[in-house]
Amino acid sequence: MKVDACHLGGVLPRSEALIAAYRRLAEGRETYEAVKELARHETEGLLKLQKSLGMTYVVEGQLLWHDIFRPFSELLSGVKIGPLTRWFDNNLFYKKPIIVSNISRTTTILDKYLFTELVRGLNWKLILPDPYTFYTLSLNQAYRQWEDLVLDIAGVIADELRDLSDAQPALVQLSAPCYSSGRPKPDHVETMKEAFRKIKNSVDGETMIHLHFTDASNAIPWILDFPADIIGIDPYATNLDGLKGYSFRGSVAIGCLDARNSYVESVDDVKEVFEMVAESLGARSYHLTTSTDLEYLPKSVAEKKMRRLSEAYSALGGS
Amino acid sequence: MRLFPTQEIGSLMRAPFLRKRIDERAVAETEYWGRVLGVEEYQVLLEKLRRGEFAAEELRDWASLYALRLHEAAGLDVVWDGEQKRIEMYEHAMRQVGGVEFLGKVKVWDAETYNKAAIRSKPRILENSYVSEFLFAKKHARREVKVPLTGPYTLAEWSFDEYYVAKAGRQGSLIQRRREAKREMVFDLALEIVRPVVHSLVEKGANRIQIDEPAATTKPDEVQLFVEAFNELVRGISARFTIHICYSDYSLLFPHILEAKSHELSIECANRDTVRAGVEHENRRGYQVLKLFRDYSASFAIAPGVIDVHTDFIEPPELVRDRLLYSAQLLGDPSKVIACNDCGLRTRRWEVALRKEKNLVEGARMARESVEKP
Repeated sequence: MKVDACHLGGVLPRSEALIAAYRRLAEGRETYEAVKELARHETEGLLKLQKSLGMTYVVEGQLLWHDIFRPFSELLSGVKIGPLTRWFDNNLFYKKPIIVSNISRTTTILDKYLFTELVRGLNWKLILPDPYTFYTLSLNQAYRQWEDLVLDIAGVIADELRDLSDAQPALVQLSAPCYSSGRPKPDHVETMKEAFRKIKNSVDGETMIHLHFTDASNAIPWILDFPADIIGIDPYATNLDGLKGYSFRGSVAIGCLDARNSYVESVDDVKEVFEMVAESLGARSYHLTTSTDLEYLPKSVAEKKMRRLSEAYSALGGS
Repeated sequence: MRLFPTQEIGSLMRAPFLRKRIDERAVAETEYWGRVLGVEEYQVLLEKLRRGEFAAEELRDWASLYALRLHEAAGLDVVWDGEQKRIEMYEHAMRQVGGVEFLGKVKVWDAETYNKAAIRSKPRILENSYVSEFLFAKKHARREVKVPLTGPYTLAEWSFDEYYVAKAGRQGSLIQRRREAKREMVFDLALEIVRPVVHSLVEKGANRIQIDEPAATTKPDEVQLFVEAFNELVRGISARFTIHICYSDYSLLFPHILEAKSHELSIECANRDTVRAGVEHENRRGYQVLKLFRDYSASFAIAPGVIDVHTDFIEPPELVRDRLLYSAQLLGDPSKVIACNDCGLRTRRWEVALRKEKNLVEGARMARESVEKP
C-alpha cells in the first residue's frame, strides 16, 4: 500500500491572540486591517511549519474565513447572511446563506480572503465548499430549479479559481459532507457531477472531494464516476465494510487523525487506522490526512496533530 | 398547582458590582437596583464599594441576593440567583472535576469561542460549589428555588476525550470504539459527577433541579444515550426535575425523549415565533413543535419559551398570553404548560430582563384568567 502524499484536511484554528483581535473588531475596538495583519503573520507561521514538516501540499489556513460559505455570502450578489445554524454534528455554527435572487459576482472574492502572495509558487491546497453542499445548507428563496442554483454556484467557484491565475492551488479540496449524509437521488447525482466537472475544468491542479463527518459508504459507488483525482474519507464516521468491493481509480485520502478530538494518536494508532481503511479499499494510491478541518482544536493541539501526521507519513514510507 | 406557573431558566447578566472595574457608574447602578428591587441593607454594600473594602466572595453573595430579588420583583413563582457565582455553564462545571485539563479556546461561531477541556483520566469531583450556592439562595429566597446544573451529555459533548478513546483499545470498528467510549464518558459524568451533586443538593433541601442539556440533539444517533444517562442520573432521587434544551431541532428528540424520567421539559420557542399577538397558527409558528409532544402523548409538562432572550423587544403581556394559550391548545391540556423564557437572560441588561419577566408573569396571569373565566 503506497502512501503518496500528506496534507491537512481543512482550515486551521486561529490563535487566542487572533480570536481576541476578532472580538475587539466585533466590539469596534480594532480595525479590520490590524486583524488582517495579525492573520497574515499567523498564516506565514503555519505555512512555514507545514513546509518544515514535509507536507506534500500546504494549506493556507483560511484564517480570515468565519465559515466555509462566508466569503461568498458576504460578496456574492443575490446572497444574504442568514441565521446561525449547526454545522453537522458539531458544537460549531455557521451562518446559513440565504439565496434571495440569482447569484452573480460583482467583484472577485477569494483574493480578498486569502493571502495569495504567501502561497504563490507553493504546492498549496485550497478548501472550498462543494456546490451541492453549498446549496443543501443554504436557504433557497430565488431559484425555481435547484439544479440551476447548484450549477451557478459551481460557475462562481470556477470563475474564482480561474481568477487566482498564477496563484492557483495545486489541489482544490471540495468539502462535500452532503454527498454522504444520505443517499441522493440518481438524477441529483448527474447535476452534482456536472457541477464538479465545471470546477475541475477551471483548474490546472488536482481536485479532491472530501466526505468528512459522514459515512462515505453512502456515496459509493456513484461517486467513483466523478472525475476527481482524490476522494477523502473520514474513517471515524464511515462504515468501512461498505467500501469493500469497489475499485478506486484515483487516490484516496484517509483522515487517519481525528481532527475533532484532542487525543493525539500515536504513530502506531495512525498506522492501524490507515491499514484498516486501506484494506477495505484497494485503491492505487493513498494520501494521509486529518479527518476534517483542524479548527475544532485549540491551535497548540492542532500543531501537535500536524507534527504527528508528518511522523506517521514518514513511518508509512512517505518521503 | 395553579395553571401556567412562572419560572426562569437560570442566568442573568452579572450584577454591576461584579464588573472588572467598580467605578462611579457601577456604584450608581448598584444603588439604583438595590432601591428598585428592595434589596435589604444594600446601603451596606454601597458603603463597602465606596471605600473599596470588600472581598470577592462577599460581592458574589450580594450579587446572588440582587438577582433573587430581581426575579422576585418580577413576580416569578420559581426563582434562582442568576448564576451570579458561576463563570458559565460549561467551564464552571468542569473546573470542579478532577481528571480534566483545559486546553484553550475553540470556535463556536465567528469570534465566539469557549475554553474547552480534555478528559484525561476517570472524572471525579474535586469541589462542589453548588451546595453553598443553593444554601445561600434558599436562605434568602422568598419564593421556591430551582437549581440549574449542566447535564452529563452536554459536558461530554463539549469536552475532548483523551481517556476513554485510549482505553477503548483496538477491538472493533472505529465507529464502534468511539460509540462505546462516548457512552462510558457520558455515564461516568452522569454517575460520578452530576448525580452526586444532585444528591447533595436534594439532601440539603433542594426540591427542584434543572438539568441543562443544550447539546442533546447535536448527534441525533446519541439522543437515546442522553436520555439513558439522564434517567440514571435522577434514579431514586426525590425532586422535581426539569430538562432544559434550547436552540435545537426538537424533532430529533423523538421518540427517545418520551422515556425521560423528567417532570418538565423546557424548550426555546419564542425565538422562532412571530411577535404578532393571536392564537392563529400563522402567528404562532414557533410553537408548532408542540404538536409532536401531543401526538406522542408525552407525559411531562412543557415549558415552551414565551420570552425571547436574544432581543431587547419587550413581549407585551398579550403576546405572552397568546403564546401560552396556543401552547395549551396544541398540547390539549393547559395544566401541562409552564410559562418560562427561552433560555437564561445572561445577554440582556437588567432593565430589559426585569421588564420581560414582569410581562411573563402578567401574561401568565391573563392566560390563567382566560382559561378559568372564559
